[in-house]
Amino acid sequence: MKKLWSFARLGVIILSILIFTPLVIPKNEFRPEFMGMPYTLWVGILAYFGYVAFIMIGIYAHSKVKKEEGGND
Amino acid sequence: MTKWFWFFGAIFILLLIIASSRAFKKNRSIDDYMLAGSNIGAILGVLTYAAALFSAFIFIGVPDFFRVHGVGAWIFLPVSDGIMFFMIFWFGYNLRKKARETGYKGMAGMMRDIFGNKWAGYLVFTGAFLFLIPYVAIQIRGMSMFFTAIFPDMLPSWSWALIIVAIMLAYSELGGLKAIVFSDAVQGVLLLTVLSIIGYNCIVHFGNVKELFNQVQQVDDRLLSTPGPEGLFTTQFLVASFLAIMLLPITQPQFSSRIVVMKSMKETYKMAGGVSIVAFIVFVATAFIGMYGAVRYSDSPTVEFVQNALLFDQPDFLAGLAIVGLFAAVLSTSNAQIFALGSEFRSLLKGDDKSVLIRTKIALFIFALIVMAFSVIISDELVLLARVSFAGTSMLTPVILIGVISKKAPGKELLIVSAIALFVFLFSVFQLIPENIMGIRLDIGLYVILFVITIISIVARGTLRNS
Repeated sequence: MKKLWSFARLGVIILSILIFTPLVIPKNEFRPEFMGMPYTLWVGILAYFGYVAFIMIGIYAHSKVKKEEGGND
Repeated sequence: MTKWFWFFGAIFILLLIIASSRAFKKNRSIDDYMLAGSNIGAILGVLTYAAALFSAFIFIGVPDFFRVHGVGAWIFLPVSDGIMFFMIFWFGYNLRKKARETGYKGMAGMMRDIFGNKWAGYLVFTGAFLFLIPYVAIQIRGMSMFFTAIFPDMLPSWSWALIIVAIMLAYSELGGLKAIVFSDAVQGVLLLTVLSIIGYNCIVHFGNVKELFNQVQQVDDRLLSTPGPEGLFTTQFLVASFLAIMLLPITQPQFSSRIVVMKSMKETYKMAGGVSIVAFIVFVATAFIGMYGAVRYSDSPTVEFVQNALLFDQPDFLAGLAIVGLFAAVLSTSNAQIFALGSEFRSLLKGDDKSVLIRTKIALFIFALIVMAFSVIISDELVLLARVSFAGTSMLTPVILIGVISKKAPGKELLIVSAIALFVFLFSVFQLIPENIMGIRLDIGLYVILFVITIISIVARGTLRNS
């Protein structure tokens, strides 16, 4: 479970770095579009989903890890 | 529209009265008054956190930000909020643990006790005071602008500010944090409902999402990418905003206090997950409202865009509900912040419960008056002023974060470096120091310096425990 918690933290860090690269915010570029949305918007929405996924994984793993340590109230 | 406003407004005021009277009966001790008995469940937690976060800023500021600066606003705010929601439970776990150990009354008092230094408490309180007052004031300013535009002949602008401050004081003084949390719940539901429907209507107006963005492209294709038409969303701006927003649960007391008052860690986990989902719905709606405005009201001033997009282009009942929703949003966010300042003030006081409670209530009243005065003179740039507030309090991160996750008293150098950073940033707000030095934003430079000194301090002193 500790590995899963580390995975969630590492995932959040990597995602947070990628967001500020041209992979997510290419300058003055709005193609390719997806479902009519410009590139930065739909990739930004995917990034948000990424955070939500890591939040859910993190909550699950963190609660188990801390429970094992007897730390949760 | 006006009759729907009075109809929904009357229901809202009735709910506030019920909330205050319920909370008033239960509140006895000062901890019950200030910390709602630390017994908030997940659903109330989600709604109160969302209500503290989403305000006039989200109703007026964010749609306008999308309209003026384009889709880069998604990276500026929702994406930054994504990691902030992660921080809720990671930092929340550590904060709750420390709060149990130290007996939490407010962040300022807790830092004073952890550092064993009264200046730690004064520093945290000063940071909160300096940067929350303008943030609260912009909420009230936004609402006054909006109401004066809708009802131009009814009341002068300052009267709307007076009304909201009076209502806010009345029910928070009576019911304390519990009344605020109940009213937040009402506001959270209202906000989610109103913005979702309006956002949907904005897409329907163009037929579908693709057509909406086709028309945005015809107006100005720079709205569809970064850095946007005005070049605001540079990588440095986005990174600095990301860090400031990520740190909100640590550095702004209205958020940290909401984490502490949750019934259990299990409920805190649920709150973090729940807020991330609620926020997504709200942000998507604001993005589409903003894009709708970019096409239909590209050259209009903010107030004209907002009143048309949120009110006059919507069915009457929805417009009435939107006005009440905005009023509720401003009320709950302002209240959350003023009350948080009150909590911080209270945590620094000594004496018996009764005298502390009386002095805290007097302080709340004075804070509200200061906010009202400030709201009359402050600028109209809601989002950028909110960002200044986030960035300003984030300068306290080394003190609060290390204080919370440390196993022993952190070094005083963290107090000194945070205080310097706080005042340097404040001077830059007043343009006494340049905002950019050698092509680097001052706030980013300060974050780097704070980070390096913090690392050196905790390594040299062996301050941390496993978190």
